[in-house]
Amino acid sequence: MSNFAERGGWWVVGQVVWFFAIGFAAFRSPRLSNETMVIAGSAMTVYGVWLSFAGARALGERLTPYPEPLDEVTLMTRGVYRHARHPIYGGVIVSFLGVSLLTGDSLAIGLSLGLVPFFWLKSSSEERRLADRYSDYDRYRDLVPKRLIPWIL
Amino acid sequence: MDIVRFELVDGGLFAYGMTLGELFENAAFGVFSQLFDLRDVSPVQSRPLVAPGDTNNELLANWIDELQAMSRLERIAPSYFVVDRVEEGGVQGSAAGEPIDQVPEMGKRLAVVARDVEVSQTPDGWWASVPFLTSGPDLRLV
Repeated sequence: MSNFAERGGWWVVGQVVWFFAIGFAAFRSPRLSNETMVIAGSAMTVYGVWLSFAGARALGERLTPYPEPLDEVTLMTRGVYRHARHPIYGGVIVSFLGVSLLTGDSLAIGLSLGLVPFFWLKSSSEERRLADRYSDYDRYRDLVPKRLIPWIL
Repeated sequence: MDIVRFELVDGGLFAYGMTLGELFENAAFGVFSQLFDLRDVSPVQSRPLVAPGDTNNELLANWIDELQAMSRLERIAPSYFVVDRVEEGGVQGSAAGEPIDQVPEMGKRLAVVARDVEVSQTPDGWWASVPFLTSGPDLRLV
């Protein structure tokens, strides 16, 4: 259990619970929102899913749900990681917000917005570990100032 | 107008620079651009370098040699080269790039022929000839 905690496992547990909460809120009484929200929600869902997949594809064997980086892998700095340091988290936020907009459920939208501080804190925990592991992490952070969403956040 | 930093010639490359330091930077870029696709490489990982030498020829040969060793040991594909000081006895600078496993290779093997490296001053600045051997199965720069 201590190994689980050391790797940042509780962040993963919190993340999964949060996802289920959003899913429950969004689909408890499914309905389509107005046209504007459907267009915005669809675009955000597509972009968010793409961003997450682009991040996961770039990470490849480095991919882990834990904040603790895997052993003996290099720091990923290319592809979408050139524009955001945690694009998978950013993609998850945008896609959940998009789905929530599609359903028009205010609780789901609120919970999705709550993912922003959640992933901000999780990525802060991750960055402390990355800085310990990689001596050049501060330099990478300076080169890529956006944390979650390229050019935005 | 584009400034020519280096040009490939039979058996190596010619490098150019307004100053001796710039010449060293451009020669290093020329060598590593034969090994890696440096077009999108960012200066994420940086390492300081010092190379000894009594003559400009020796300094350039050793500078490239040190870069090769750094690249191999640190697993970095360098694309940014900064020379802080070139003086009799040594050259001091740094190189920056990204992890080798994330940078596309050019599919070449290359070995610089250090003893034949030649540096000279021209009316416009500095020039160097950096001979190297390519594509031999036993020749490895990194």
